Amino acid sequence: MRDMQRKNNQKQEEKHRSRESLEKRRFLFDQRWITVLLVFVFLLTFGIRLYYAFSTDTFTGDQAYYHLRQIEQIGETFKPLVEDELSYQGRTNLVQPLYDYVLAFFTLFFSPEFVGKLIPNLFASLLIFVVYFTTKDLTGDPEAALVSAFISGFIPIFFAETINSISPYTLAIPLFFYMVYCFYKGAEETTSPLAEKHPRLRYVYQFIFLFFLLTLLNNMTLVLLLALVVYFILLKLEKLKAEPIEKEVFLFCLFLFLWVQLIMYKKAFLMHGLGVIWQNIPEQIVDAYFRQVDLAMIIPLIGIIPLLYGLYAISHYLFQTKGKKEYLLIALIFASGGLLWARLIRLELALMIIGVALSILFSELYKSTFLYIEKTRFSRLKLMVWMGFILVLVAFTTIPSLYFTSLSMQDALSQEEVQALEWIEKNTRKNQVVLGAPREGHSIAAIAKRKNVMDTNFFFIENPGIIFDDVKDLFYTQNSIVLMKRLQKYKVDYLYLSQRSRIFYGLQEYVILNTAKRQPQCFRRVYQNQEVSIFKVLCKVREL
Amino acid sequence: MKENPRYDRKKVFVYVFIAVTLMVLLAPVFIRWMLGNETLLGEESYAHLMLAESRIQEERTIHPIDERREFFVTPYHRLLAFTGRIFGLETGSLILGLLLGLLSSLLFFLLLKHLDISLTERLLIMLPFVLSPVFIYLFTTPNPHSFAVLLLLLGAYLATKTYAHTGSEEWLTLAGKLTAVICLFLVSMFSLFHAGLAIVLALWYGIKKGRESKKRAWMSEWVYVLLAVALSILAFLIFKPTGYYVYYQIEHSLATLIPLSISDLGAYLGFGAFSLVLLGIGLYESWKNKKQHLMMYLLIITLFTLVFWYGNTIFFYLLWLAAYYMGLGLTALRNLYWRFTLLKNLTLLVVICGLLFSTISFMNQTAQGGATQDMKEGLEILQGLSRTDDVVLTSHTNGFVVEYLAKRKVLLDGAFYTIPNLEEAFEASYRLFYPPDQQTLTRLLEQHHIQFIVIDKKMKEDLWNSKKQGLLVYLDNEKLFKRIFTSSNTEIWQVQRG
Repeated sequence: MRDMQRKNNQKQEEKHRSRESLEKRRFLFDQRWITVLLVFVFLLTFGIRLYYAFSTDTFTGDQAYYHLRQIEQIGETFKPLVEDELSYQGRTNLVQPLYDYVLAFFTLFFSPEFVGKLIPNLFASLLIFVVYFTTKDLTGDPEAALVSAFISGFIPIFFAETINSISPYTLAIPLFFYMVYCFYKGAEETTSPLAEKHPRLRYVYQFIFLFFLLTLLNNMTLVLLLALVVYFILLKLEKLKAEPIEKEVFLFCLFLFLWVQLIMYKKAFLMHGLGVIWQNIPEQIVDAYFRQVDLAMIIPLIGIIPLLYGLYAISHYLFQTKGKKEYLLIALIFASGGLLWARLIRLELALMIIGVALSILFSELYKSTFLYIEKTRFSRLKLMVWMGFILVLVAFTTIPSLYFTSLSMQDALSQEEVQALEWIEKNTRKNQVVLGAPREGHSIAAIAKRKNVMDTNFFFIENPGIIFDDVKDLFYTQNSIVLMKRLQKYKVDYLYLSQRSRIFYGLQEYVILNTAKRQPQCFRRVYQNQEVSIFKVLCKVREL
Repeated sequence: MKENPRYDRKKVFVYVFIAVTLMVLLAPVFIRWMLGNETLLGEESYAHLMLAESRIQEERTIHPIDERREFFVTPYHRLLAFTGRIFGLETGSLILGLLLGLLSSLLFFLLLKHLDISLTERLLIMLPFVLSPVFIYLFTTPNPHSFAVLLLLLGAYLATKTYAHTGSEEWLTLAGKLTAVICLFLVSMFSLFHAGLAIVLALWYGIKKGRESKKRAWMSEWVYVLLAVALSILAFLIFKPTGYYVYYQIEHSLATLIPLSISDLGAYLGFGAFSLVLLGIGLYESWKNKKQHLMMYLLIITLFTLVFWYGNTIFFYLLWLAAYYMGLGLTALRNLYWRFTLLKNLTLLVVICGLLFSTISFMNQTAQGGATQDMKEGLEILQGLSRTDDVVLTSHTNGFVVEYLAKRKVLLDGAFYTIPNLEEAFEASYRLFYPPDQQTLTRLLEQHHIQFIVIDKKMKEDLWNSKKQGLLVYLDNEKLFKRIFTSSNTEIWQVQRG
């Protein structure tokens, strides 16, 4: 009975597919060439990534230095840095250790800095293969799969955000979409004629195992679960039936996710309640992390061509034809968009997922486009059309990608900043406290190896909003008594004043420098270069 | 003669169930003892011990420490006083809680049997029920709701218990029904809410029986129903209990209620996350027969609405209904057609692990909360150094502890409804914790006859952001305060009068 139903569903699905998709087209390249080109695309992407990553010795973004410290710690002690004496002058970290452990493994062969440059870019480049196989499974068209893979390698937001920042997304995003692939294949292998007698669950087991791993790596499994809910709703609306294995896997993963989250975040939930969702980020800056959606921002960050093609594919499959596999990708886009709109996930993560999903959906329309071209007088010029198409793609995806990457690389720590931090390490005592802007906290801890007042990890920190305001006051206040009281409250020994934090606080020049000039007995400049000034705090306020 | 394995299996299940219930109820107390803390769980425990300890002359009793305040005494406090005479109040309260818990869960189990629920389903209902943080809190923290719940269950059990209609056993039926009426009468003595609940349950029983029974039987059932309703109203009119028996009463909004209802998010009294998921699945499953479940849905909605006014303690009454649907949810997961048995078994294993995790986590959290052993020692020292009319300043969450252990008045405790000029007391408390200047501080201390200040670690975390803020700034002034006790958790300061 169930077999009959399944066959009926398949027939229905095929009946509603567009005629073009069932037709076989003449490919420009045979499979061997496709493979060569795929490897070429991988090497190109990887090569460009490495070029940019190694163009500087330093990393972009403060979180990179947090991961660097974790990798070094695991490399030395095989345990992550949970009790951190330097961050906030002593705190407990909430660690999702999988990514750091994976990178730490490679420190057996290379230095942590080299590993931080090489391995994340390798992982990110592997997305190309994931997208290729997923797209090929979806469309049966290796050329379309190749082009999708190429696009996915240069999604601007994914490229720029992960190139030099030791970001867990470099591993999480390829794993995530490989899980999507396993979900497709798992449903297929349990519905094949042989499945009744000899059920094989290779892909199902892989999905479950990777789901568990991804839960230890990042919280984006929530996006997948929500996407599956949307997927089942779409199937119901389109009068298609979900396979039993799909429902069973979903149920299992839902409970597994809930359980793992409760275990990992138990202390955080007890301390912060629902604030865990927003990572206990201070109210003053939470908007910068969970940003409002702005269409003008989205287009260049995803790429105009995959966005347009992808949106067309969505409307095609929602209103004209049916396609179970496409519905899962559409569901991913809706789930990410919904969570982004509700400000429950970060803009970067949402756009990365949407970007990759759209690049896969792009293949459907690519295939249709070239099927159509074959029927026109341009069929003889197919290769030239294809090359023109690729050039347009390069112009509208690769170039923006490289542009945003260049901007991102400018944000990397400068040599002057590194020199200043190294000076601190060599010329100050180990238990001394250095005040810098919150987004410099991890680099103060990692390079200068000194205690910071605040950084960008907010879990298990009580009242981070108050600390944020206090640190901000230190940079704005002209009242020397207030300044000294704040410095004393946090036992600050050195002030690390960089151009980066001056720009962050929107100051023309540091107010604190005027105070330093007025009270030279309290502040002494001990280091200066083009980017950074370091002052030693000499005074204390005494209550009468 | 061969043994009947089915009979033995039932016995084994029952024994295991009793053992698990005992373990669950004893574990928080044992964890606390192992940590060297002999104080009771929960902040309001000492309020009930205090009332049991005082002279109970009428249904209302004067506060044993502060004569201006009147408290309402329930049947629970009388029962606690009786147990206290045998075992001592603190031990007695623990034993009483344990007995009430065991009896309540047994009665619930038997009540489910009366509703023709199979053994497997009953066990699947009892599992989330016994592992529920609400159940654990209800019977490990001395509170009147534990007795009210037992009385309700006993009444429900006796009302639904049917005997063979032989002449000699008809008197059993009569006795059972009358005892059920008495139970509802006793429950109505607790509060207006309890009286209302008793009336609703009696009427529900009457309506249900009316649909199921013949006319003559229906009429005899309604005699008991009307008797129960009349006695409930009478109890309320005679004893005039409060609107609802609750301490630390604060009105909630949906935004504040959600984190305060889930024990995994730190709620001192709430359901586990997995329980709520099972509850959702159970309600979804039951929707297919929504007409049969209509009364249950209405009762759940009503009780949940009351949570906004009366707080989390309403969960004590919601628990039984919720457990039923949680069990339904678990049954649905188990009975669902799973193509792959491995996935089914893994899913059920994860669900059970999730339930256990919430329970263990809650036990650990509860065992470490509340008063500490060093606070008890400090309060004993305070009692020795103080006079009977001295007032102690502390947070309202420590109020009952100070009143019971040190036998001294406090500015604020959790029985808000009994404090004369409550707003003034709150205002004074706030200004004392955050004095604008020394003059205001000394004036307020003088005005409220405050001679001692008790500060614990939780107060420091909740009230002040740093060591030098508010009242803490002035404590180091030796002319104003002298520290008489200090430990890792508690500091006690004596006000120096010039």
